[in-house]
Amino acid sequence: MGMNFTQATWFCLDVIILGNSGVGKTSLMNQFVNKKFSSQYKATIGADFLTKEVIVDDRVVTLQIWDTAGQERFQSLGVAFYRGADCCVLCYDVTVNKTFEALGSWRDEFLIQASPRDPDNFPFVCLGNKVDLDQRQVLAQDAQEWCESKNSISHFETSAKEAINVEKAFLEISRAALRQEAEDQAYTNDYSDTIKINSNQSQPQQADSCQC
Amino acid sequence: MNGNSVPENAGMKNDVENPFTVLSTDTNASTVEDTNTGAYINRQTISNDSTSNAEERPPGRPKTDPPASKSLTSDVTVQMGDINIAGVTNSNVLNRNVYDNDLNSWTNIHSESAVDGANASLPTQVVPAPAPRSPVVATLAGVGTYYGRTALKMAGSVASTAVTYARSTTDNYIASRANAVKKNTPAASENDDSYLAQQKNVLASTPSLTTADVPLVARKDPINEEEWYECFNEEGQIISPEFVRSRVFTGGCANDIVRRSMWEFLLGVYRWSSTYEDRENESRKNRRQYYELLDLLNAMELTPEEAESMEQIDKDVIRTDRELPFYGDPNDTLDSDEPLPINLQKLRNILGVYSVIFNPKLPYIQGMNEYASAMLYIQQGEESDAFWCYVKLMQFMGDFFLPEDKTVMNRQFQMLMQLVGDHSPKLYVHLASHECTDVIFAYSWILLNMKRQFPFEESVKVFETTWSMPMKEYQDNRINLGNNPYVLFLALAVFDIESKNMESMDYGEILMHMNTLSGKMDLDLVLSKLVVCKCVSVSLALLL
Repeated sequence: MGMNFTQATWFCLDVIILGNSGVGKTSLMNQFVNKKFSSQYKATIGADFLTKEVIVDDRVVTLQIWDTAGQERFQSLGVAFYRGADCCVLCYDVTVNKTFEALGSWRDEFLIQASPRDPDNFPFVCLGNKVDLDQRQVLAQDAQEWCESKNSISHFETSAKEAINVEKAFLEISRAALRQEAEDQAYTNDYSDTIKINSNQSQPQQADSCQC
Repeated sequence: MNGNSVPENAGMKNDVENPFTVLSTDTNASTVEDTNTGAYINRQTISNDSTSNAEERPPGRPKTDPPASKSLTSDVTVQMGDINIAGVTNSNVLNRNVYDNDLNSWTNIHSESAVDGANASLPTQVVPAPAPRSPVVATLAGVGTYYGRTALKMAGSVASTAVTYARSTTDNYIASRANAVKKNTPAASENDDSYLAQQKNVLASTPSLTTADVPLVARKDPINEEEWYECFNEEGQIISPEFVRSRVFTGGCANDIVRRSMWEFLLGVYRWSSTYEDRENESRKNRRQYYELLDLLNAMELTPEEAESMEQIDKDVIRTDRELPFYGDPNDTLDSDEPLPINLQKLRNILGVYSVIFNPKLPYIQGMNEYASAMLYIQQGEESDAFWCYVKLMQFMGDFFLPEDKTVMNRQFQMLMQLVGDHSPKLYVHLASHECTDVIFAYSWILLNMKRQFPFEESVKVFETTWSMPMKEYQDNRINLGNNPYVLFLALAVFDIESKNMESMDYGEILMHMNTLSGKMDLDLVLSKLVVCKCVSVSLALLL
């Protein structure tokens, strides 16, 4: 698999959260990172960013989470950090059907902007937030089916407010991101090996530091 | 400079009207194998003959220029001439591949600093160069890769490579190298063509600002009620609008009573020359009209687009300035089945009436709620008065919110980065080398005039100071505050305060750090830095 990195390698994984306005992107991020929920979050304008160290399969990684603005107008703003993302989290609100229906276009938008090397296998994780509310409009089964149709995206139903499934979802996100990062590195390492033949310069080894 | 006449304010308008936007479109993005990093790098770049452009570059702005928008206009002429030369007539300046033209010098640079340069092949949002006189630029010119603003912008990758070269160290080379390898895939620049075309337009209409434009002003006492009432004559006309504006600019309003009526003048709801009687009539008329519009909104059947606008408004109203007791209990989650607290309902009405009925061309965009909220609060919950203040405000801030059109905001970013390059070259280089020149954290600063950076009661002072900034061409009821660069100067002051911190941070860390400062910045400190930022001061004395 090419996942032959050493224990000393410290990974920084970039995760980007997308989804319609008001589905709870900022809340999910803050619940995961700060274990807090506030009803006073303001609408995200521009972008937000938080980091957290997590342990994934006995490995310590730093998760760098990019929170974006949901309203369409801001979509092309974040292009700079779409690139290099290791995992993309698609969020919807289980009480608003429209937010679920928009997932396809968020996914497409991401793939266009981020242009990952292997779009078909790029890891997405899908979160249906606000399960603490009663007015559900999106059935778990429908969401599940959609996720499966998109090359088996992992799906979780969460509540940022009640901290339901948030930890679990982010563990899966971290795992998916780590896998992606490892594959990317394997790819680029293989690739640069062939190039290196022409170069007298020694290839700096991956340092024992965050690689981002 | 060329002999074309530039229409007044051309630089302030949208690119379509700009006579200089016809730029070559045959961008030769070429994908080249990089022998050092093993990554594909998309290079969109320029020839290496820097000298000819350096000569054509407009001279530094005369120090005596006042900060008025007039002066910006005249600068536009110069700037556009620059673009014309660098970007259009001398087409071979663009679209050349340094790799082809000058393998050696490119390789030299690249081997030192491959990575950030490689990263820069991503179409960065804004990559303006520092102003020509900064020492960094001298360094860049020295390595033969600085070609003036226009070219640099077009050439993201090499320019940034050179910037990195100027500060490259082994450590960050290694760290950033991994990043480049990771981020550079052959497909990296799919959208470059349209992006470049767009950026060219932005550039062609970007006025140039330097720190010489920063108004130096010592803070004075705020205007209290007594002083404010003395500003009116017997009929209720403002005796000297210039004096009032200068007082607000230097001191702000002492309290919300003064502020309430002051804002109506500053924003142009009432003319300075209006009498008590005029305003009474106007107010009555305004009120009647507003409530008619509101009734209409409540009665009409909404189209899908309008309904969408209202949905977005509903989502945002309940998360607007909730920390203010004015909006009720901040911890109330406001479930959709219960009625909104009275003032949130008013806020919803104002936003809905404006975007659905009054000015459907400007649909609701996130951020507008922040302005409407400030209006409502300062008008003490008087819905109609707040609405008309908001209407006037949107006359000049509306462009910032235009959907599909990022020109206005991009121009602001670019001017901001020019200021940073001018004032703190070191910080500029750091930002450029970390791909931070899109300063996304400054997006809300500019869009919301720093409203979220300060505590609410301070942010209203920032508003009134901005609106009262002396502008040379200011006349009664002829304000064009959209061109007001004051917020950029404030942003520059924040950069100045935070530069030490920022210089040790990467893109994400800077974003995170800046976001944690939200609502906590110290206005007095920022204003005092504003003075420090200023290199030479003349402007205000001429205007007051």
